[in-house]
Amino acid sequence: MVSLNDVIYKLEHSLKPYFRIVKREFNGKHIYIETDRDKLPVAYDVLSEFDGRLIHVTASDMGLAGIKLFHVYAFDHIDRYSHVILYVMLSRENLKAPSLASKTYQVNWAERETSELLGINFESHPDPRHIFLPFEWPNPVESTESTSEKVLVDRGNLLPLGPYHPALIEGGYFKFSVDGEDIVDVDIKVGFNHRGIMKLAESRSYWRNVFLVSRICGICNICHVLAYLNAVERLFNVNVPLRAKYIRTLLAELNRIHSHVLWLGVAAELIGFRTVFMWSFKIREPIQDCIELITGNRVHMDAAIIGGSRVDLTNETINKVESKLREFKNQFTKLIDIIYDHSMFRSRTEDIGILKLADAKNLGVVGPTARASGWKIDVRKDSPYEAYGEDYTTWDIITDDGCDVFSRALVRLKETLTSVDICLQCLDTLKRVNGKIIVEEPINIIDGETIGKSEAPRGELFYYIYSDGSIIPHTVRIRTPSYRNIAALKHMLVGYRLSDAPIIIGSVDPCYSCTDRVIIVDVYKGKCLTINYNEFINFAKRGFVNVS
Amino acid sequence: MGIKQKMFIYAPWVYHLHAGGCNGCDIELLAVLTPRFDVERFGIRLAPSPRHADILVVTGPVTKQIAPFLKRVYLQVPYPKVVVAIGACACSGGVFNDVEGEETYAILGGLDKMIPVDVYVPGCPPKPEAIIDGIIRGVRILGVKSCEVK
Repeated sequence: MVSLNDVIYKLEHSLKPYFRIVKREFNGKHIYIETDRDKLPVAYDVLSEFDGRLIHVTASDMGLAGIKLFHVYAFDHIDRYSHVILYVMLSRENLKAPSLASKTYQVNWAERETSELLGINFESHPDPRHIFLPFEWPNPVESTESTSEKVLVDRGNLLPLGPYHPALIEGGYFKFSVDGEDIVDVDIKVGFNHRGIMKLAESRSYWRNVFLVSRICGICNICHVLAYLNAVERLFNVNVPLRAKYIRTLLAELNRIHSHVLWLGVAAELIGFRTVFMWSFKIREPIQDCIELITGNRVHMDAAIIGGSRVDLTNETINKVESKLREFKNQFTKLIDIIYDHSMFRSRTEDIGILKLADAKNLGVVGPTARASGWKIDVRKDSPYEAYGEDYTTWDIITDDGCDVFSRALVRLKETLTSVDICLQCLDTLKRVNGKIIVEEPINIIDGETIGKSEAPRGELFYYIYSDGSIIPHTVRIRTPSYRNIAALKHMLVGYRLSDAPIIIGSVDPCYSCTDRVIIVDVYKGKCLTINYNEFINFAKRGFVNVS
Repeated sequence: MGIKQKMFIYAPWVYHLHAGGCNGCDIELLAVLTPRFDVERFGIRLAPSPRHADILVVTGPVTKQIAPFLKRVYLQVPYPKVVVAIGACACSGGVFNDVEGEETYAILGGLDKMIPVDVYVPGCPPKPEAIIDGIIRGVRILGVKSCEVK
């Protein structure tokens, strides 16, 4: 068992003389280290040797001092709460940094994002195109040799999917290079849903930002709020009352249940299993009712605020929610049995979209996608927040060794039942624990920086907040779970058939909004046909496209 | 009621277009189509392509990247067409407008800056009942517009 001190000792040794521990925060578990830019690749080698997860690469504009580039490593799956935050100060005259994208694919997108938003030039980045900015943005970066359209066409026929995409599997723009039915290569373009939220968050007060970050995603809204509050409350030393912690946990778990059941419906629809789509939406409605009963809205809860919770539960509400959850559990267990034994569901999902554990670690996938590859990571256990710790609720991380789409489905289905258990435990405690639901003392804004994490239904959610002491945060940086999972799709799709592409894309539960249309480019005739996404789904179901 | 009007209002097909929102409205729209709210009893169903649709239902604040595609889809919908904007974002840009209420660098801020809108359904997100009401109002407008078809 490695402890954080061993890691720091080894790191100090290899980074000499550029090594300075700036501060240790949160009982010494969050360590901020300043180093030199040339040492960043060495630091990556050392830290990944200890199984550290490079969770994000981001930067913050510090005004005259220059730009601060971060590499955030998580060790919390080894030593609880442990994080190492490496940073280098870059002067404005020389905005250059070494790129890690050629070493590890997982930071490819993060470096492209940092490069386009803050102008840092990552040297020898394999693919320095824009990722989130609009097409007409000035100075577009030309695609490099390895990813240019010509290479994709050379390797097979080009078949772009997107950018219009249906209601729930919002995806980006997938350019498939196909050889007959087989996928040879794929290029993913995201950013159609870029709304500039990080910039907006830097122009609103901490209190108003709670409602803004909730609107990042409608499906996992409270998880975004909890990750944001995790950071803000640690920064301002706010102690949330016990009852509020349970209420927040209850709502987050209700959210997870409805998200996973929704995913099941959508995934079933993608393989043409429309009955399960209708069933799962039917049994999901009582959960929406519970959320409406507690918070007053079916989707956006806006229940958690800085210092506690906005809503309280009466005993009557608790009993109603409890009975609805028990009924849901019965119905859902029946549904799981049906799916588990269903030969069609199994044949469409087994041995499809395989992601082995070693690849999962290298690509840095999170959430159910990582757990289905046998990687035991879960923010709720690794860095417990709210009422997820052992002192509050008892539950286990669910993993599966199948590595395919079926095990991703299985992990989500079992997790739903775990969430129901956590909800019931929270409700049980709420009957006994009385008291305040929000802190009464005034909250003082303190300057400093901190990170916050939470486990969204799709995986680990990361927030970085830098406060300069004013009422508006100086910097807000967000890394959503789909950021990693969608980037990993490139690895999962190659080698499988085109008709399996929708369910593979669906299997990571991609959550960044978009799109519904497929453009088929016939490279031989040089003409462009536009077919709709649903026609593409039909194609996936039937196995041929009617392009007349 | 003439035969032309009947043709349009008894089976209006809806094309759902996500223009960069948070998915809140989209899951509510999906709930509208599923057993509890079951909008198919009004003859309304999702069209597989904008070319088959009568009503275009749009959610989201219209990001700049999606705007050209939105325009293209709008032009693909045959006349008579009705556009329903669902959610505060599609109506005005909602929470994604900056502190002065102006649109930011990444969004257009409201569907009506891009295409003409017939029905606005505010709410964040609107309840399924409100969405059904909005679509039904859209169907009435469709009935009026269908009289103009030669």
